[in-house]
Parts: sequence; C-alpha cells; structure tokens
Amino acid sequence: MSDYIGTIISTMNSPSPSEINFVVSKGIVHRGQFIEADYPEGTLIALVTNVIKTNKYFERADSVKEFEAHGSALFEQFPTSEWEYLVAECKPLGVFANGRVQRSTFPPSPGARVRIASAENLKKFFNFDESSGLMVGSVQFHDVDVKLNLTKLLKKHLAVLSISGSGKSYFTSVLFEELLDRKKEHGRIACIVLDPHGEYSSFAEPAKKPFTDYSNRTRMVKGRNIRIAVSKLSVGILAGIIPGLSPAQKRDLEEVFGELREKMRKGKGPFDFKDVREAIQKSDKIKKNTKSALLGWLYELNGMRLFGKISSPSLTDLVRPGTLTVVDLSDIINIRKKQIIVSHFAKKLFDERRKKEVPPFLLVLEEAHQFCPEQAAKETAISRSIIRTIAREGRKFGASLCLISQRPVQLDTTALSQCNTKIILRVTNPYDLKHLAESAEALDQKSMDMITSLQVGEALIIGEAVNYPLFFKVRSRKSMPSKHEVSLEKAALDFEEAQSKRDSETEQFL
Amino acid sequence: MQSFLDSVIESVIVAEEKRKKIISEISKIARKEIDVDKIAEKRIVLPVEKCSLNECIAGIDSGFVGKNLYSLDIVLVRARAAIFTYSNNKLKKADYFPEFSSFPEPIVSSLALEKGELSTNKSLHRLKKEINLAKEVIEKFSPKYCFLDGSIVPQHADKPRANSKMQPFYLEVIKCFESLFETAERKKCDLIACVEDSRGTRFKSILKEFLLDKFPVLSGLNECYDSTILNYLLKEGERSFAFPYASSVKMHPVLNDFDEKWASMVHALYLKPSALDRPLRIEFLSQEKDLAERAQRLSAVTMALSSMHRSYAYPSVLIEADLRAKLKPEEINVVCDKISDRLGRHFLGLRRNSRPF
Repeated sequence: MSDYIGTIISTMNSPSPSEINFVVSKGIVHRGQFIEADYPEGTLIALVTNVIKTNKYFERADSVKEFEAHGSALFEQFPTSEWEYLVAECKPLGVFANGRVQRSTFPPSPGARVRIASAENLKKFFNFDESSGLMVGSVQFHDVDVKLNLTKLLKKHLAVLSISGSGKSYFTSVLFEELLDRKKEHGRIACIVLDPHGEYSSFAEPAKKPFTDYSNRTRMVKGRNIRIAVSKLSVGILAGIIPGLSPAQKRDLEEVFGELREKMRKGKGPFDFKDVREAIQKSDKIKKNTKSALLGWLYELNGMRLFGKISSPSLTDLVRPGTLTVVDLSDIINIRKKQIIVSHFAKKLFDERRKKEVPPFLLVLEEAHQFCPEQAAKETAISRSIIRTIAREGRKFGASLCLISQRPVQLDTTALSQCNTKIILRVTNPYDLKHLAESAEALDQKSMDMITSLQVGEALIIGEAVNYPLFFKVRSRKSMPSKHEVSLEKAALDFEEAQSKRDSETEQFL
Repeated sequence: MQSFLDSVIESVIVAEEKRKKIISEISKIARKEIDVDKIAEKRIVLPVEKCSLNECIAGIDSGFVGKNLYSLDIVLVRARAAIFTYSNNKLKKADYFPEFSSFPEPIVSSLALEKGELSTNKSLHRLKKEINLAKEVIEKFSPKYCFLDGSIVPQHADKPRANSKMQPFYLEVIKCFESLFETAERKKCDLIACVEDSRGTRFKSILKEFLLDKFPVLSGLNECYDSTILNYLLKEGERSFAFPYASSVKMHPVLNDFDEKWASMVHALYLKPSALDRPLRIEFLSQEKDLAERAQRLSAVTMALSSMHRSYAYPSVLIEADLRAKLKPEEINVVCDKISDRLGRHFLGLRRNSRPF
C-alpha cells in the first residue's frame, strides 16, 4: 500500500463525482499522475488534471511590492515557504468495487486521505493485457508498462495524430517492433505501411547492436518498381482515376476491356494500356470524339509508368504473419500516382483478406490526409473510397487500418470516426484540436489543454484500447532509427561533404 | 441623506482643521528639550535609532470564535507563537509553537452568564491561553524579545463586576500575567505589546496636564485619541516619549489588581514606523530608571520589524503569528455540528438563529 500523500479538501464545487481537490501534504504530484482514495464506495481512481501552488504571502500584489520595496525579498522578512501549499485538482475516473471498475457516482468525503495509485490498480483500471499486450510505453510518473491488447487496439482501427516532429513515426516504429516481436502463439498479423517519405525503410536494412535487426522480417517495395496489371483494373476503378469519364465513355471502355479480357482468356495473355489504346483506335463502335478523349487519358495514365501487363510485386507473397512490408513511395512525386498505388494496395489487400488469401493485417497509412482527405473532389481523392470501406467494414474481416496524420482536420471524418482508438501526440493547431475534441467524446477541456503541452515522445491514448484516456511515455525504440531522424546540422554537413567530393572529382577528371 | 452626509463630512473637516492647528503649535516645541519632571525623556517626540536584527524574537497571537447556544456557550481558541531567528537583519529560521496544524481548543462555558459577560468570558479565555503560551515560549525558546498582540495587561472591559461568577477566573488570568512578567524578567526577555488600533488618551492627558500653562491651545484637544494627535505629530521613524500606563496605579481598575511591583512598571509609547500608517502603540515593562534606554531599544526593534510596508506598520512576527492563529467562523460550526449529531434536540441553537425564513 502506497503512503498517503494528501487529504481531500472541500471547495465550492468539490468533492463531487466529477471533481476532487486535495492538498498535498507529502512529496509532490504532477499533472497527469493517477491517485486513489479509499471510501465506502470502493477505491476511487482519479487523474490529476492540474496542480496549483498557493501562498498567502503572495496573494496581494500591492503587499508584495510594498514589502519588497526596501530591497529585501519577502522571504527574508517572513517565513513565506511555510505557507506554500500544493493543491491538486483531480478528475475521478472510476471506482473499484467488488473487483470491478464502476463509474464514479458518489464523491469521497473531505478529509479522505489520498495516495498515489498503485501499479496493480492502474493495470486493472486501464485493462492492460499483461500476458500478450503490445508494450508501447509506460504510464507517466508511474512504474507501469502500457501493454495494449492487440484486438482492442487494432481491430476497430487506430489513428495516430500530432503535429510534425512530435513522434508519430517513432511511435509507429515501436508498434511495428511489438507486432514483429510477437510470439506465434499470441497471434501474429501482417503489417503493411504505405510510406510516402521512406521513414520506415530502416526496418529493411540490416542493423547492428545496440539496435535490433528486423531486416529478416521486413520486405521493401520501392514505388518505382510497382506495377499494376491493367487487366485487373475495372472500369469503376478507372472511372475513379480518370476525371470526368462520362457514362457513354465508361460503356465504350467497358466494351473494349471486355473484348481484351476475352482474348486474354483465349490465350493471348494479359494486356496493357498500349493494347487498350490499339483496341480503341480499331473499334468501329466508338465515336471519334470519345476515342480522342479516351486515348488522351490513357496516354496520360501510361505516362505514369505504373501500369503494366502483370501486377508486381505479388501481395500474397509479401503479406505474411509477423512481417512488415514497407511500400516506399518516397521516389514518387506525383500525388495522383501515389493515390493510385494506395488505392490499389488497399483494395487488393482488402479483397484478398475477404477471400482469406492473406493473413489478418494492419495497413498503416502515413500522411493519411493526403490519401483520404476530408474536403476534396472524388477525382483528387482516388484512394478515399477504399479507405472508407476498410474503415467501415474491415473489422469484420481482420483488416485493420492505422491512419497517421499531422492534420486531423484535413483527414476524412468518416474514416477518422471509425478509428476507435486514437494515439494523440502533441497537437497545437486550434482547428485540429477542435476537430479532435469533436471526434472523441472522452476528450474534455483539461485533456485538450494537456495535449498542447505534450513533449516529444509523450502521447495520449483514447478509445477502445484503454478504459479511460491515458497519457503515457512512448518507450525507446529498438530498431534502427530512420535516416530522416538526422539533425539539420548533420544533413547540411553531409551535403557539403558530398558536394566538395564531387567538385574535387570533377577537377581531377578535367 | 445628502444633508446628513454633508453635515458629517463638515464636522470631520472642522475637527481635523482644529487639531492640525493645535498640533502645529505643539510641533514647535515637540522636538525641543522640555523641563517637565513627569516626562522622563524631556522631549515630546524623539527619533528612533535604526537597529540590525540578530536575535531570536517571538510573537504571540490568538484567534477565537464563539457560538452562543441555548444552554451553553462554546468558544474555540487557538494561540500560536511564531519564533523568528534573525541574522544580519534577515530572517534565517522560523519556528512555531505549538505544532502547526493542531485543532483549536474548545472551551465550553455553562455558567449561565449575563449577556454582557459573555464577551468578557471569551476574552479572558483567550487572554489566558495567549499569556500562558507566551510564558511557555519564553521558557522553551529564550527569545530576546516577545511580542504580544494587544495590551500588556487586561482591558477594563475584561474585568467582570465584583459580584460576577467570573471574578475568580479573572483573578486567575491576572495571576497568569504576573507569572509571565516574572518569567520574562528571569529569562531577560523584553515583552513588547503592540496595540493596533489604540483608543488610549493617556498621552493627551499628560500633555494637557503639564503643558497647558504654556500652550493654552491644548485645551482644544478634547475629543480625540492619542493616536490621532500623534498621527500628525510624528514623522516616520519617530516616537513619543514613554509614559506610565496610568496616572495612578491604585486608581486604575485593572492595574490595581496586579502586584504593585508589576503595576508600576507598565509603560507605553507611540511610534511611527511607516509614513502612511497611523502610529503604533507599544506597551512594555520598565523600571523608572531604565525607561529612556528601554523605550529607545524596544522602539528600535519594533521599528525594524514593522517598517517594511508604507501603509501597514505592524511587527512581521505578529503578522505571522496572526496568520497561524486565525480561526474561521466555519470551524466552530464543525464542532457544533458534531455535537448536534450526537445530542440531537438537546443541543439547541438560539431561537434567533433558527428562524425558518
């Protein structure tokens, strides 16, 4: 049993089932810490939402100024430190009674003694999975590991949200490590990350101590090597890619695709856009104007160097339990091309999973607001539809999403609202904060205030994975850090070194 | 209403103008030597020398709240001492006695006192606690100076009528005072009692008694207190001459109850530590032969402890003791509620406090 650290005091509004205040009589408490108090209803668990220091001697500005006007500080005249009190404002979270957590519906009495919440109670209260949970960090100010149950964390999708540079990718790397290190008997899922900046490519590289080597469990797919089989594209998909495709044009295109698929079945083999274009040109049924428009669009699509006769790489080969597939899109600049790839992978994965041809998976989407934007025309949000579909239906099939974004306000509300667990790192933009508050009812104003002041590596988790919003410290990663994590100074030095080497080589050559 | 206010303001202005005129006359000689036997220090106003604090100084104060009930009266009293240790004029350590957070002592009185005696009873209880604590602190901490909040002897209002049931208790309190004086003398501790809002008129009486011949204008000083006169007369860092607490110990209703040794030693003076505050009355014990030296020394210490704020002059050690001792009215309600919980209707409040609307 922990030592008592304070006593509940009586204020105008507290103690109540939603607020208690206590004066700290021993040691210190921090905002974000958990405390507990025994009372007839059971053991109350509460979160310290604010800590206020008071001192009678410093309450009146005029008196402080007057007493210090002669040059000596107030503490040299009065025992001011004797009057400093620490009052902690707390939000009751729940009550342990008869081995169960219940809502707080009755307050403890003023005078009740308070202690730091015990590790045992916290584990039970937050429903941590001690046997096979994903250990992503520790509860701030408590010696308690945050071990999240796989199903509760991922089945109904996850969102990782924060401003740039607050540790989203770091947290996601920690999550990957936990999923890759997971024992077979605990149930392993496949991880696929669609990585626009190549932040996770370090997982595929062999690592030396002190880092853990995950290269044997990671596969890397470079964006430039991805090919999508044209024969596998439906006209519906093409309509999503090609802006302004009219119903008549769709019909014509459907007919051409039908003929080419027929030939393919008869042994002519798969076809590409070149074959489609030739078929359109030869067709007598398609009007001249339609031909010209279709040929123009197909020419543009072909120019992306993304489509071919067969799809590569093969998803069924890539997606294996306990492995990570990094789809590195950092060499692709065209956002449409990236969206087409995301759409293709997401759709393919979902379809394959429905047929149980791939294991249950976690599809991680970095910069999710680029691929699933809130306010964008259909033509510029090619991948939004399939992401929404997985968000809505994925849980039934073991297809989980992890949406990562630095602009929650620009992320599709439908998809975000389906993410039953949210990991929120530092967010400062007021629009993003408002959006978050609207999408997560468990977030109150005090928690919102705390989000703005989170340090790098500190996070808030809300939703299904925990019983109550929890601030925690993300654990240190075991894998090799991303090359993106080098300092600006180091990047500048590397550039200048490379440039001077180039210059000297040129000079020698001349 | 307006005419009433006008007349009040008018009378205040007239009285102030009159006083200023009289005091400007006295000011002419206030800082010069005068040859009056009864004024031992031979000056009306004297400068207070600055001193550096390097000793242990105690301050005693008490707080009390009371509640009158149907069959008894309850008083909560909390006396506290703050003991400051100074070095080079800076506070180095603060001790408290008794411990910081003890609950105030409840005193239940069922003497069936008359209405007027209720407040006397409360006041005597408070005095007894305070004086006994001062004695204990002097024994335990050996301070060089011990500051008391209020007068150094009970007030006239604290003395019950001769046939009152409270008379023995009053005499007991007088004995407590005498015991404190003995302890202070034995431990070489100077007692300094500070009166925040004095209504004393002894200084004015002395002026009128001995200077009326030279300054007939003094006859106009009828309706004012010493502190009012001295507020004009004293400048920051000055004090009045020290004077005996009463013109005749035998004739004084309270001093007469003390042993003559102590009664004759009670003196007072006024000093002005801060420019914008009124003078502070201090009372102390001194034999006639030491009066000038002691008055100067005690004034200097009081000044050093009280002159940090331009508009509030009071010794810091007493400010701290007051903060420690202060009681809130709610605290007695806690006690009464607890008793009421157990006694129910037998524990009745006053009818006037039980009105339904």
